[in-house]
Amino acid sequence: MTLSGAGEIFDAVLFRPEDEALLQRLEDEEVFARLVRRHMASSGGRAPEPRPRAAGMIAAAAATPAGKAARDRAVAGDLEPLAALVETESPSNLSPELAHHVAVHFGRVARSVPESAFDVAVTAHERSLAAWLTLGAEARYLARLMTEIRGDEGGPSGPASGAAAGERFAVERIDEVAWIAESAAPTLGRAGAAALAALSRVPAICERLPSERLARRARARAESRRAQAIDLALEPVREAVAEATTRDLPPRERGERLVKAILVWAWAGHDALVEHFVVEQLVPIAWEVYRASQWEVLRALLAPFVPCVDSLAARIERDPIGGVAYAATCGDVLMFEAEAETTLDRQIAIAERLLRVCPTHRNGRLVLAAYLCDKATRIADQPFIGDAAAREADALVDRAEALYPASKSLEAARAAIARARAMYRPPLFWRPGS
Amino acid sequence: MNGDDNPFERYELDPHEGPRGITERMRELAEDAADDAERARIRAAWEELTVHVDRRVRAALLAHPESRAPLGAAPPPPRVPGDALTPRDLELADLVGLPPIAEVLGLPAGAEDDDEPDFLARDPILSPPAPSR
Repeated sequence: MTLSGAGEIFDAVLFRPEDEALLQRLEDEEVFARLVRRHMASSGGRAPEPRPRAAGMIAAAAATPAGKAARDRAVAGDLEPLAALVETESPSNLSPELAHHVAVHFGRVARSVPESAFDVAVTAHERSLAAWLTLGAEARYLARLMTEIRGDEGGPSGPASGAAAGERFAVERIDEVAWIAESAAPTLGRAGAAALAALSRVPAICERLPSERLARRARARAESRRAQAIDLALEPVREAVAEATTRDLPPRERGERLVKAILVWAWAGHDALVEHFVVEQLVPIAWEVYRASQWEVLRALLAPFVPCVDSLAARIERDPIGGVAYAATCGDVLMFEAEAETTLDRQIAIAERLLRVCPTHRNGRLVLAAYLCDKATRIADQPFIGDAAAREADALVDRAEALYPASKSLEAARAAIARARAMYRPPLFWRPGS
Repeated sequence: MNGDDNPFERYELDPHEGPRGITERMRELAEDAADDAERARIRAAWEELTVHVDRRVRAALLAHPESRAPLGAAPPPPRVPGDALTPRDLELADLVGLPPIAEVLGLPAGAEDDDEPDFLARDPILSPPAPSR
């Protein structure tokens, strides 16, 4: 027999209010245990034994008519409406008391799931932070609780300082999540990756907050703590590369040490901070190889970093103003990539992208002009070129000249086109005036 | 302190009771503790909650708030069988005047008013105390 079934029988016979209170507690504990199992289920983890007081979340949910209906359906076996209520993206729709339960509950779920349950942990962290920040924005609830708990032991006095203390407490929950990320940074643990991912969602949470002041504080705190955690993860790589440089190790070995940054990049959810670190560290190593014209070594050096550099280039293409600080450095790496390529078309494609990332990149303009001249020369050197091909070669040289007027390749390209014109005279191949 | 094993929840403490109330409750718990290890845990939790008010506030806010209806009292709102959201609809039978009990029992009209119930009069608890000598 279910608890609700038992309740109906007692209702019909003899049921005192205190019996009703006890029955509701038992039902709430049973529903809460099912809710915890639901939130832990996809993680493959084992749900921690909930304390009885935690089941007060169900009672708090039932304080509104909709919540009471959801609770009754949960008691009858259908957990969905209740789950939808507490899993809301907008905790501001909940009562402060229920939002408090939600914040505590999902915080514990996030810390309880196994490391493999990345998505479950991220979502739980996000829901917990959203609820805490909503409480911080509401301010009165946390301030009242603080005042009541402090009693005559002092603390914030007056609504303004109480609200500020509530806000501060809510923002400190970001620090707790950041602490998980920082603790996992040396080993690149998955729990830390989930915490970092949750911190990256704080700006989205802040968009739904009614308090712009709190939103600004929360965004800034999340951003700085994320950067701190990522910096901690990068620290061993930075030290390893610096040590290799001090010992004057060959570029290949220094590059191998830098490759560990790619693991940090994956751990940090492909964060721009790691991409900045990679290009800054990679450029001096690559310059050394480039100057020595060791193309094979350059190709091998750059290969592991291509996705990371691609990501940074795409980021700068999407937001040129925001990415201006790293455009030139990213352009340097793209130039090395272009120079290490083995086909002219790929070289041109990469160099074109380089100039989209950093239009004023001097070496980028220089190498693209050279590639274009090279392509024009190849066209002109083909036997029996047609009018369209000749025009294409002319256009390539014109563009190369516009990009880099002092390019030494221009002269050779124009000479090749002139030879082609002399060899294949009109009217057979050239139209008059072409 | 790990919020996942919150002392307010573990020991069913009310943060509104303040250090004195918490101390009394934890003293009781320590007296009932099964072994020294448990007593040491209780003592550590007591120190955590009473030494500094900020720690107590933090632990209290990181605990689930007490939202359960108190035991021994009716839970708000009253439970309604069937549809939980609306009170039971009135039916025609609810509007019908009920016959007097005396009539149902076959007693003369007004009998229940005139006759004092003997069991109440004989109840020693309800009787006035005898005058002392």
